Amino acid sequence: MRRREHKVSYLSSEAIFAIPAMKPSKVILSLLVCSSLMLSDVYFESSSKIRGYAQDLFMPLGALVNIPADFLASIPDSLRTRSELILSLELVEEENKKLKVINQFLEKVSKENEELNSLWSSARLNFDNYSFARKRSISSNEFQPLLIVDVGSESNAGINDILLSPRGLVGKIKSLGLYSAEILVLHDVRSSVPIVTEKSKLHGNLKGNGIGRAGNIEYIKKTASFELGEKVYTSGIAGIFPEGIFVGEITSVDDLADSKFLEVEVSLMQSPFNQDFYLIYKNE
Amino acid sequence: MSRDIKNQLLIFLTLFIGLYVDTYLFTSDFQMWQPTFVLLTLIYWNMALPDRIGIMAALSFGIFTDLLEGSLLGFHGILFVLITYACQRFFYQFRVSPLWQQSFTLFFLFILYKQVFALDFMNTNQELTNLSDSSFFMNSFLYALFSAFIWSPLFFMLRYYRRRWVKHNS
Repeated sequence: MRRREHKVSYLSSEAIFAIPAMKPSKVILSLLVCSSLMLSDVYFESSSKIRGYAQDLFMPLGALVNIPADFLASIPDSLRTRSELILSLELVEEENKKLKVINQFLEKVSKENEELNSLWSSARLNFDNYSFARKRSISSNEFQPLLIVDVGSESNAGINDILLSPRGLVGKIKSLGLYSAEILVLHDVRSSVPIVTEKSKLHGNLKGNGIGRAGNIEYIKKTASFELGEKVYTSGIAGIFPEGIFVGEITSVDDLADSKFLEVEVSLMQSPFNQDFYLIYKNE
Repeated sequence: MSRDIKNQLLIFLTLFIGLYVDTYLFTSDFQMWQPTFVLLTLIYWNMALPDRIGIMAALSFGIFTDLLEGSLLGFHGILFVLITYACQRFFYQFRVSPLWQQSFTLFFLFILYKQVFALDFMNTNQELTNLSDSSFFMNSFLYALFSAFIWSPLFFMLRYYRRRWVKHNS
């Protein structure tokens, strides 16, 4: 028995086997450390410099997630007989032949498409500035959901580069490590995106309100006229987000008596939960 | 390797597994209600072996969670330290109560725990002091409910692990 695990009674000199409680001084010290970390994060965003590297450090932990899935996938194969495996191999080979033929046709079509696309892209966005990113995890924080994506070690992604999905803007890179990037998604309450509406051409600032909630456009004068269902695009003001990327649709416009501004809600089309691959666009 | 260090490592291993489950295992809409396994594991060890787990473990795992979850650095740290202190202070009472009572206590603890996340530290909405609304409260309720339900199986699993692997000094 270790010494600190018991006390001796002053009355009977018997051992009292009580486990001493945590020292309040240690608790207070820890709380002070945490509070100072929080204050430095609120005022100087001190953690943004280390977060990307912290994600790199925890990356091996993330890679473990595939192990149970791979193991479960390998069970049915290990239970099959040799003849069954040969049969399935023949089927796969036949399918492969079909796919090769289809690919030949697709190559033709894609070449034509490429020409048209390059014509369009040269006028708008530079495709060299794109790189792929794969979702690794997303935090459960409802108001500040943090999307972590894997970026290649040779990727030239930088802070404030934007993340796109086929359905539009997802967010921007907040912190970067060697292999991971943290994304500030549109739904985050800290996010603010300059936008313009499709028809009325009114400018505003779109704020996130958390996962599962619509965003809202701030500081819109009551004289402004928005249409329901109107599409919202990035305006390109401030230079972080390029112009003309789809963001969402206006779902409600409320004129509240106790507010100086209109309450305009925008439904954000892209949920970071339902996507595995993204494009990173390096904005110049 | 001495018995003490081995025990510490075995305890930390469970906490790392909890952290792994929290961060990587659920990547769907269920995430908002998924129990915080690292915190439940921390509560278990504080209750089962309060002399083997200290404030540093709570602080470290709180900061790890902050880094992985993207919350303010030190925010989970404060919560984990406070919950650890409360567990250590009242572990005699908590340990002897029946499992359903423990789950019931944890249910209310986790509702409160979740509410703290609605505090608007970054001052994103200057008209409000917190971001809580009916949908958030519903999510908090479901989160606490799942945490309370998961407590019993987790308790038995960790108890088996403790009895099997974490040996006392003789």
